[in-house]
Amino acid sequence: MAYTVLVVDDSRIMRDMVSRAVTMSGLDISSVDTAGDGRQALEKLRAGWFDLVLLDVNMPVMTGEQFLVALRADVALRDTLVVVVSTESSVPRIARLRDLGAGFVHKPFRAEELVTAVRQLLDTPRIERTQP
Amino acid sequence: MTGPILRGNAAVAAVAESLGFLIPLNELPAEAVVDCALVVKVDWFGPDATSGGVFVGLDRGLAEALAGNLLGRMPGEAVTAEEIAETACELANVISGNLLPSLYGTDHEFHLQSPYLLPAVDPGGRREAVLQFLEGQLLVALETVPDNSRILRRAVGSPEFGL
Repeated sequence: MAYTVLVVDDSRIMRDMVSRAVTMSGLDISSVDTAGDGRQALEKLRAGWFDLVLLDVNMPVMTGEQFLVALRADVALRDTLVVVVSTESSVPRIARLRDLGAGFVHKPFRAEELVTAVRQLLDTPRIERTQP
Repeated sequence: MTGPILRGNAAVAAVAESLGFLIPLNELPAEAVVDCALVVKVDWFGPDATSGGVFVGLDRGLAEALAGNLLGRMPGEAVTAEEIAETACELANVISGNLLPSLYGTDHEFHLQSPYLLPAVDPGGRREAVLQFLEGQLLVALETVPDNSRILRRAVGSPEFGL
C-alpha cells in the first residue's frame, strides 16, 4: 500500500526536510503535501485523503496538540495516523500526545527513527492507539 | 579553552551536528568575541508564568554553511540571504527546544514562539554555549529573568543550587 502523507510544520525549511526524509525513508509513499499550521492541516484533511500526518507541535494559529484534539473529535478523521515530529522534550506533554494516539520522533531526527515510529503505529491495532 | 565548560554546549553541539551536519571543533570561553552576522531570538513561556528568550548568534561562514547543508546544496552552490535567515531561524528553534529541557529538566512544558531575526549584534544575556566549527562560530545565550531561575531551579531540584 502506498501512503499519502501530510507534513505539518510552520517552518518551510523543516517542511522540506521532513518531506525529503519521508520520501527517501523506504516507506511506500505515493505523495507528500504540506501545511503550515494545524488549521490548514485540518482543511486539507477534510478536502482529501491522507494516510499519515507528520506533525510539528509549536505552531502559530493552531498548535499540534490542538490539532490532534480536533482530529480525534472528528468522526471522519479520527483514525488518521499521526506521528509528531518535534523538539518537544516535556515528559507530560509527550504523554498527552501519545494518549491522543500519536507516535513521536524527536527533532533533530534520523530517517530511520521516522520509519520506526510509522511502523510502530501501523503495527498497533487501531483501538489501542487512542486508548492507552 | 579557559574557564568552565558552558552547560549548554553539549545540547547545542548535538543539534548542530544532527540537524546541520556541522561538527564542533572546540568549546570556546564564555567571554569569546563572536562576530554575529545573524542573531535569532526564540521567545518562550514556561511553567508558573515564567518566560524568556533564547538568542542564537552565528557568524557569516557558519550561517552560509548551515543553509547549504540544510537545503542539500552542493559545495560552492549559492544560497540566498533569505535562505540563510530561514535556516538560522530553524536552527534556533531546534536549539531552543533541546536547550531548555537540558538546563531545566523534562518535567516542564516550554512553549516556543516562532523565531525572529534581531539586529546583528552581540545579543547579551547569559551565555550557555559558545562553539567553534570549521565553518565559523556559534553562540547561544539565555535571556535571564531572576524569577525564572528561582522557579525553574526549584522545580528541577538541582543539587547545583542546594535544592
